[in-house]
Amino acid sequence: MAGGKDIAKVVVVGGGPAGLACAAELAVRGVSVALLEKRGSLGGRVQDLSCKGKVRCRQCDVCRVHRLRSQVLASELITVHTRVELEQVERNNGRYRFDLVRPNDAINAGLCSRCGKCVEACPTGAMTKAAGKIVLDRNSCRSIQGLECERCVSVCPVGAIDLFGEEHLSVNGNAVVVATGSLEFPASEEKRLGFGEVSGVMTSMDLESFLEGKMDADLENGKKAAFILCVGSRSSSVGTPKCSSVCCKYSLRQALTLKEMFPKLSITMFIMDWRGLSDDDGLLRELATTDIQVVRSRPAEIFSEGGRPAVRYESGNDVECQCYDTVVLSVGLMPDLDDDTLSQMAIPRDPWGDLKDENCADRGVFLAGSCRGPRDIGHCVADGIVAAHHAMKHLGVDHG
Amino acid sequence: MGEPMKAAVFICRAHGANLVAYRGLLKHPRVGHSEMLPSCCSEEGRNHVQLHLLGRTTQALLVLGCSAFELKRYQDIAVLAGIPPTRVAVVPFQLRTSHAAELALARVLDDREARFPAEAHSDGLCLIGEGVSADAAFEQAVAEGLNVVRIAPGDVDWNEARLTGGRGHFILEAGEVMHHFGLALISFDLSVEVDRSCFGEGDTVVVLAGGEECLRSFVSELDGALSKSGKVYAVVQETPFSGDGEILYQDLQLRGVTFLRAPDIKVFDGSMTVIDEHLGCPLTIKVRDLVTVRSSRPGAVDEVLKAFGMPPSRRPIGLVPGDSGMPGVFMCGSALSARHEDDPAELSRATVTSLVGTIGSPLPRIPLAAIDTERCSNCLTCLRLCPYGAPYFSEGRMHISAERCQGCGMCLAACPSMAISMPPSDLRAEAGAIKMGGGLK
Ligand SMILES: Cc1cc2nc3c(=O)[nH]c(=O)nc-3n(C[C@H](O)[C@H](O)[C@H](O)COP(=O)(O)OP(=O)(O)OC[C@H]3O[C@@H](n4cnc5c(N)ncnc54)[C@H](O)[C@@H]3O)c2cc1C
Repeated sequence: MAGGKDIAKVVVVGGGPAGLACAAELAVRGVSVALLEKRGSLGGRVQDLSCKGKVRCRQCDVCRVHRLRSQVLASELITVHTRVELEQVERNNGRYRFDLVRPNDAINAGLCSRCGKCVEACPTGAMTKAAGKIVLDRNSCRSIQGLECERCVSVCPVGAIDLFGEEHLSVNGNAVVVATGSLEFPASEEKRLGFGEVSGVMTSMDLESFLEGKMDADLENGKKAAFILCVGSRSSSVGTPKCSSVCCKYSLRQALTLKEMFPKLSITMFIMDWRGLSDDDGLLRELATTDIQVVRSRPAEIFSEGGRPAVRYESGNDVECQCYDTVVLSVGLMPDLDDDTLSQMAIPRDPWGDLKDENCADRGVFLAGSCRGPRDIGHCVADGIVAAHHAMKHLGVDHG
Repeated sequence: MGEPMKAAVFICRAHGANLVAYRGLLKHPRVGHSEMLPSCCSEEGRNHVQLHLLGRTTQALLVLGCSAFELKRYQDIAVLAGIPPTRVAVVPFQLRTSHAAELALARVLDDREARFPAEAHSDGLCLIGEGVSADAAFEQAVAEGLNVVRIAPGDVDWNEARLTGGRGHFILEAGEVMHHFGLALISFDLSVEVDRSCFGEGDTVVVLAGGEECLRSFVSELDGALSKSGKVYAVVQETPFSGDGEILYQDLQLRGVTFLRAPDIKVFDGSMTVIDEHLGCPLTIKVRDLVTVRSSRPGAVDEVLKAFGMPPSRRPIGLVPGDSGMPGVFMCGSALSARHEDDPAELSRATVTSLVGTIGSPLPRIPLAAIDTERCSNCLTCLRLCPYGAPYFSEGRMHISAERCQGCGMCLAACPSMAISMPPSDLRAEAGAIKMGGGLK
């Protein structure tokens, strides 16, 4: 529907767990939905997360999002727009119009003869041939990043490459659900923990990729690993002073999963205190049955010693130092302060940057998920369902 | 309506693991007679069982902890006492869990299929529970225009209550009253209590003995204490302030509250000794006011769950909000949720909202479990486990009755030969399988 208009009753911004749950709930009740997502596919952060209970379910809820995603993709009432960026949003007579742009596929598959000349010409390796198809990684393409290049365009014998082609579309809705989620704390901002400098230091997101089998790491039987919690959260200097509420839970699940994979991997967890756990989620009970060590201390720094990360931390009145093969930084969730959609819609924030519902409901805008403050998948899904209900009430949709 | 049917339960080889796994079941209200035997698979044992059955005080027979091959013999004995073979089950020692035993009990006592045809579809929602979450759920159900009945847990004698039927046609007989409904929502909150004791002069100590549900009372006690003279100590095991609560926590510390993390405290004559995990050494505080904030699970939760044939440890599973894993039964509230959310009321609203799509629709033609006969080893595990009595053995192989199968997925998880499959897109099957501790194959 290039350049076309389509009519939806509710526009859901953000395709993470909260947005998916909201869209699915609306569709079940017969309300049509336009789902806007700036990434290439749906699922939000959960696309990069791994199941953390391969042998025994630990209720990490990651599978739940994959389910929701297929439900959304299968629904006739939901139009999904991925890879879209907002140009502007307008409100007229209580109706919102979102003007969007979507970059076209840089390579016209109909014209492309798969000769591979562009792959040879590309200076950054952004053009690759995978499974007989040429694909472009937009993030490493010099031209798209604003530098001069366009070598691929000039070598292409059939003129199949257009790096800047884009498509405009607009989407209408009488209510908007904002589920734009959160960002992970960028670990390199916490200089003292050596991320990006000391080899063997990785973030919990990297560990998720490792668990998915998408990345290598120095984790196996006989090695030593450490987790450092509250990175970028509960901090007065970097990140946010709030507790991220999810990282105790996911780090424990990650550690237990690693232990399940490598019984002889030694694991130490540096924690401030356990948050958001309850007796009956069984995580602490399971922890007690393993030999995972828990140290209550917030490490002072990580430095390289003989090519391995060494952690310096306070223990009682002493300062101790321990070497590991791998150190995992459990990063917290942060609000995205630069999101243009949010500023265009003038959604108020609390002093820490998380969105607030104040005077949103009256104008047909509802919030859901971790954009309202850090929360886990289960809570985001519940949030999305509640937002769907509010949106329906706003539209005056009949029940039953 | 007459007396509910009761079962006779025998524990075979009643020692060791069998005894540990099954003893709890003997006190079940629907167990009319129970006995532990050194072995019921012997001639002597069978005679004993037969003798009891001929006394006709029970209408079903369950034998726990022996070999699966004995089933046929027990069925033969039971027929002599007028008990049909469907009312006889054996839980083999390989499946030695109280959960399996409970499901088998539900199966032998089950008479829903015969009496309640699937056409008797009801779109009513029955809300059982009390507390903030239940109130929110009720409000939400009314706002959604659902046909909702609320039963206060105190209105029913749950030990006498009898639940029959299934999703779309539940019947709860409670004393004189019969409730008909399509879906059930059980909602309870942990109840928060505050104990105060006063000892003359000194500081205030507020002890937290509970989780996030206690947070509001805990903070308000600390607030109150800050306005009085003396120091204020907060004794916790783990700080319950997750997420935004961190801001509150830091604020309290700034205002002068000293947090101590101490697993146990001793109070003697107005003087208290705590060992803070951080300090590592004992700290003695002269106490003026000792306030303890604790939470407890209402006793009615267990009773209600039992009436619904669920063990007290049952929690919602993640796939659909509040899904209990049993078709048509949902749960919410802080006492029934495995997660600590700062807002259980909001969660129960979400649960009710997500029920709207389910309740009005007629019984879905649920994806059925199918048996791969090549793989099936005829171990009869599914037959004994199925809460709906769907699997049956005939002409030398296992079948699953399309009328009875509810797609709960429990057999899927338990099948030792991995011979049972269901369309993988079905949430319910996945949910059931997770409940049973397995995954989808
Ligand atoms: C390492 C790690 C492990 C975790 N493990 C678990 C776990 O095991 N269990 C659990 O419950 N939670 C876990 N979490 C937390 C979980 O990731 C979040 O709770 C969840 O992803 C939040 O969902 P959301 O829908 O609010 O936002 P997100 O998942 O952040 O999704 C938001 C979506 O909106 C899109 N978007 C943003 N702005 C715009 C815009 N302007 N226009 C269009 N689209 C936009 C984004 O591209 C994104 O796809 C983990 C987090 C981390 C960091």
